[in-house]
Amino acid sequence: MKVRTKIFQTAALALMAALMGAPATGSAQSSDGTTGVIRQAFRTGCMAGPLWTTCGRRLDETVLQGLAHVKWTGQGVKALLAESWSTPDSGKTWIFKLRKGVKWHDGKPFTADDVVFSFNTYADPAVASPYAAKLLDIKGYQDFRDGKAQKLAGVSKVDANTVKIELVGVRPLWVELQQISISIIPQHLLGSVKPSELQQSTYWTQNRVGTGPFKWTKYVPDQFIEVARNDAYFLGKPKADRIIYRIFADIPSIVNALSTGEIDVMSYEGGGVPVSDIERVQKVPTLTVLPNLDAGLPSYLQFSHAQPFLKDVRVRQAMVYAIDREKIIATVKKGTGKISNTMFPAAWAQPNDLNPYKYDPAKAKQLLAAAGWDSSRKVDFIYYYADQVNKDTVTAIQAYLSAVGINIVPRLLNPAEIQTVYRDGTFEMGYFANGQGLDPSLGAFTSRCGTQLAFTYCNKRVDELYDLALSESVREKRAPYYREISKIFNEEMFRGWLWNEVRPMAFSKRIVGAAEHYSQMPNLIFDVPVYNEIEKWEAK
Amino acid sequence: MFTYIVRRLLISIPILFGITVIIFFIASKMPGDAVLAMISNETPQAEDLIKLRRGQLGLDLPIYEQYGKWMGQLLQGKLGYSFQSGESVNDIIATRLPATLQLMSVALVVAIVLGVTLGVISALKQYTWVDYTFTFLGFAGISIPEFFLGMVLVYGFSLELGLFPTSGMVTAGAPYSVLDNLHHIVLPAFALAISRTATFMRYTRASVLEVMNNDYVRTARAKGLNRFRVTTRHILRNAMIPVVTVIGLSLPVLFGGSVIIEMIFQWPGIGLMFINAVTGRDSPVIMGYVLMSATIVLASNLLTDIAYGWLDPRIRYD
Repeated sequence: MKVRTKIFQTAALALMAALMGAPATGSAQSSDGTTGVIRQAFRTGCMAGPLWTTCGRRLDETVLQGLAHVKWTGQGVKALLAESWSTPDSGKTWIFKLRKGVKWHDGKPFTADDVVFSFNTYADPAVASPYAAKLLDIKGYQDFRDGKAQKLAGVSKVDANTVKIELVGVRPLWVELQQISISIIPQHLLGSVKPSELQQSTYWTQNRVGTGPFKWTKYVPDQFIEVARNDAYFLGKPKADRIIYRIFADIPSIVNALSTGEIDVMSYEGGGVPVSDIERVQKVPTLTVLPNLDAGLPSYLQFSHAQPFLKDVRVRQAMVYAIDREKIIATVKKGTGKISNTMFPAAWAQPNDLNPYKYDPAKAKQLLAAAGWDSSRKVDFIYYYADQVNKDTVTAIQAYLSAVGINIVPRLLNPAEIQTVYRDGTFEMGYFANGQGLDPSLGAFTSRCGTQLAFTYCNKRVDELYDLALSESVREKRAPYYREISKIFNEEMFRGWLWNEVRPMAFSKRIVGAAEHYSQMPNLIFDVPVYNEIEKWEAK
Repeated sequence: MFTYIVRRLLISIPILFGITVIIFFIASKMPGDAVLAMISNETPQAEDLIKLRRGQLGLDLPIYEQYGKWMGQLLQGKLGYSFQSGESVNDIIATRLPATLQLMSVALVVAIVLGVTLGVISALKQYTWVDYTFTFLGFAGISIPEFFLGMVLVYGFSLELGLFPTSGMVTAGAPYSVLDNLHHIVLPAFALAISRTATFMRYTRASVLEVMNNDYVRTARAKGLNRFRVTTRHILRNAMIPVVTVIGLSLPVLFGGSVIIEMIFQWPGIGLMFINAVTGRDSPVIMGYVLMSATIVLASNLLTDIAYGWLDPRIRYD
């Protein structure tokens, strides 16, 4: 018995020693194995490819590319697969001169055929890409969608290195605002795939051949995607050797992995570092933290203008007067975020004389009384940001509103449920945010007459102004139109403007280039790939 | 015995069919569907595009037609393609199953070895401080929720002490090494093993206590057999019958995985796949998982009954 006990004890000690020793070897491995490797967080469910999902955009900064991508400074686009472009008729026709000598990662040459193929694939109704709408302005789009044509009439190959795009009207900013969502895909690999089966092609997960600075090497489901340096990249050989996109299903895991040095760069889609974790992350000596990155994401109270009790502008204004936004920002949101009184986060699109809607519950009650508000009414209030800070924000909003006699009943729903509520007409009020960072013209998608997210709000003057602003290409000429829209939104409060969000982010000091580029972004740009000179980033 | 097995197998078929019908219809009652789930609330989408996408995925057909299509595909041996990523469901499950099997088997083995050993010791030393300590730890283990334990382990051993990685199965991008894999498996396996250890310990202890006082045990001791032999050959073999049942019934979990632990540790297994599929209303993946789960439960129940019959000659099936 004693011998047996001794054997057990020694075995247990040996096992413990092995397990304790494993960390040492484990971390020794990683510090040697990570020079030249950038480890980036990537979200689950984003593997489908740029035709069907935008959350995989980080891969479109390194593997696939477009004709020109928006620059991280927010000013203009960087010429990538297109070397230059011109318009002979002030913006109705665009001629793209493609970069010469570019090869796909498998060695085949990139030509105008790939560009024509890509645009047609995006617009193809059989492919059912949600981003087809970006090509709305191309001649022949509607005929293609309706089945009257087999391809886009407005996209044509002039020669092996030139593509001509004809639009239905003058769009001076078409290159800066519309084509930036389109990634060019290889015709020689995907041309023979039936469009309705394109999403099921193994190209997207096993061998996503592109033209970018890094090429696809491996995908391990739910674990990581590995891309390796493309020595023949046309902007120069990238400095880093590999990028590992490590797949995570939720934000807390990303923040934990960042704190222990298991990853270097996080993504901002899905939420940056939660506000409650900023202090903890700032204490980690190997991280550079950017706590105040403007997300270009205004948060607001969404109203359904189809509901009779929300039609009176005084009711909507009262709600904003009733909420002490400064206090919520200072306490619940721990100082992150800036009060906003209109839709556009960009300063150049706002006039100086907006009504600040300073906290004034007395005035709110006055307005409600004048509008004949029934304080026994319960208003259904939905939201979907499930983190603690946002839950507390909704609770604070509820308390402020009930103090002036507005009783909201908050409900936390997930995206599928929210879409159902939107569609069956039961929607009343909600707390949401909407990415506007790239350009004020994006606001049109949610505030023009007839768009779903305008919820029957309709102001013809606003629609006119949006069109006028897009007919100009220079910011100074466009600004007055957006400023007028800002003023209208500020007065009519078609949404209850609350604040502009921040997305705090943190980066490992090991990566030279990450924090630098992100801190130069005037606001985060969602839903499109952003050119941020990743070929120049180094991983020490 | 043979007819018994055949009978059980035949009954399984309508049971499986019934399960798939019920789950399919219940899942379809969840608000929203795959296309709506993929719509980001932060960017608007055009109505006609959504309709087109739903049509492509067959989501605009009446529910019984959708089920019929799925069943037809199944009878051809195909599980379909994911609505979210377009990958084949067979591939999705096959690539994630090994990870779950690895984690759950390690946890199960640890739980069995620890649980049975501690249970036997506890029973043999009944009412001593050893027994009381193990009993207390046992109750604590059963009571602590798995997710809480998981999070505490991550906080303590990963974030604070830095001894183990916070998540994942291997160090991403590094060449595979068994040591690296083991290093990653320690925390999640431990989190899973603790409550099962406690359960096995309690069952073993109770069972051993019951067997200990039987006449044949006293006879064996009287014959002069040493304590160890009495414990293993005479006591344990009989005491293990109920414990085998409990172990057998926890086999399905080997394949189903623990959704919560896989979420906390980002373990790339079946559980994580399932939770992502439910949130994304990815019907083919959900049905694939349900079918696999149901099959395994039925199979392991059958295996447990057979093992029972083998262990205990008194049990006869007709």
